[in-house]
Amino acid sequence: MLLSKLHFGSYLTYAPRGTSEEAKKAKQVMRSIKQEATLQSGDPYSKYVAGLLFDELHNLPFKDFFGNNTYLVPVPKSSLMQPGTLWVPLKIAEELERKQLGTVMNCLERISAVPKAATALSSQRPKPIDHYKTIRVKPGIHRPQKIVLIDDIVTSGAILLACATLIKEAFPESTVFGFAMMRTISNENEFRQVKAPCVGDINLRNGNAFRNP
Amino acid sequence: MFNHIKGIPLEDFTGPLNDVERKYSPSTIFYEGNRELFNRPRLAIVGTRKPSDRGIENTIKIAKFLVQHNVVVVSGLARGIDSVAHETAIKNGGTTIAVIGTSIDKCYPPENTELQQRIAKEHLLISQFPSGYPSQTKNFPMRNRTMALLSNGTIIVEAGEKSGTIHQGWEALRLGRPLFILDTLLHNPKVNWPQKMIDYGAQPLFMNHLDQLLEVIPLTINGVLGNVTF
Repeated sequence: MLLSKLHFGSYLTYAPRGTSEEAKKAKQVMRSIKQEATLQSGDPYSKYVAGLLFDELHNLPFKDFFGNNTYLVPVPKSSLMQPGTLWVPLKIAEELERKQLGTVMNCLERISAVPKAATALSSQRPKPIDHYKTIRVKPGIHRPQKIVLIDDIVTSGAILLACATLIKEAFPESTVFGFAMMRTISNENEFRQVKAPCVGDINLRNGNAFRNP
Repeated sequence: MFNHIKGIPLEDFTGPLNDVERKYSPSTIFYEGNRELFNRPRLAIVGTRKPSDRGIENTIKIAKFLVQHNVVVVSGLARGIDSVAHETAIKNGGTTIAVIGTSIDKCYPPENTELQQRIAKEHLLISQFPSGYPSQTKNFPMRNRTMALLSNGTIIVEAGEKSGTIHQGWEALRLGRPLFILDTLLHNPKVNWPQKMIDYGAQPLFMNHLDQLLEVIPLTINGVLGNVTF
């Protein structure tokens, strides 16, 4: 049974259809996150954004998600992965761990591929149940009390909702939150700037995930 | 011929690499030609040495599209799809980078000698192998991995079950770089790798929707290409 609601937070925004200079900048930030670009300083992008988040955390609405007792669980990609493949949510989780915002617990694994939400036709876009059926929880030794799912970009939140359900089943006594470094804004008129931290909910309605905001 | 070969650390070309990129990257790269081309968006078009007419036609369309959008066409200067990609870019006033599997002072295949010289003079010719390096079969898959690294994304137009191009596809996926596979390949019962690569994150490319290629190239913000801070 899928969870009907997941509380989530996100730090940055971008509008896929935005055309302003700020929107263009946000798109490039999104591409830099997704490809783990390296800055001239030599820092990988995950380190850069995790550093910004850490410096501002006391003012951010999701500050209570993170801390010594938090387990950071990277969210699987839509596709399968060969060994050694770039997996950005893991990179972000590792950088947050370096900032002592939690402990990485790599316990979710994709067992079969689903179409990518960003490129699939809307009729073929995977629903929470599709993710739920194609991801498994790897056995581990931890008994976490607080878990934050870590993703790079959240669109509808379907995958976060599915992962939260799996985590809740495996660790019924834990509290689970979702976190994405960036969220999409489908109406470009609502896009203001790259940095737009928020907390909200991902709700399940008629089998689909709806994110607010 | 090839009197201006320069060898520099790879990261002088690419900027700093992340740990996934560094795994198979050569430490030094040799080049001749216009190094400035590396400061522009670059997509690789690769495929079989024995293309069908349709494969050639699709390669020409894709290369022309990239030229129209100021994207540098990267390929491996092999027979077939690679040669068509370079030639189309040049013929249409675009720019091209050849990442070759021999040292720069060797020309393979021999019929591409003139094309290789022209690319070295007017575009950019790159190799990871120093002058005099022995030509060996294993150099080509190494080159394919390097080409995946040096391109912002890779497009496979046509390739058989044992094509060297497949090495490049897997490496692009490992690096988290966009990999496009022509959708016609997904319907070809003679090859299994396209569907497997889709499961591992490749995207089908539709000839009537080439705009999807522009969604993955780095953008220029305030005159600077690529990675921005905010």
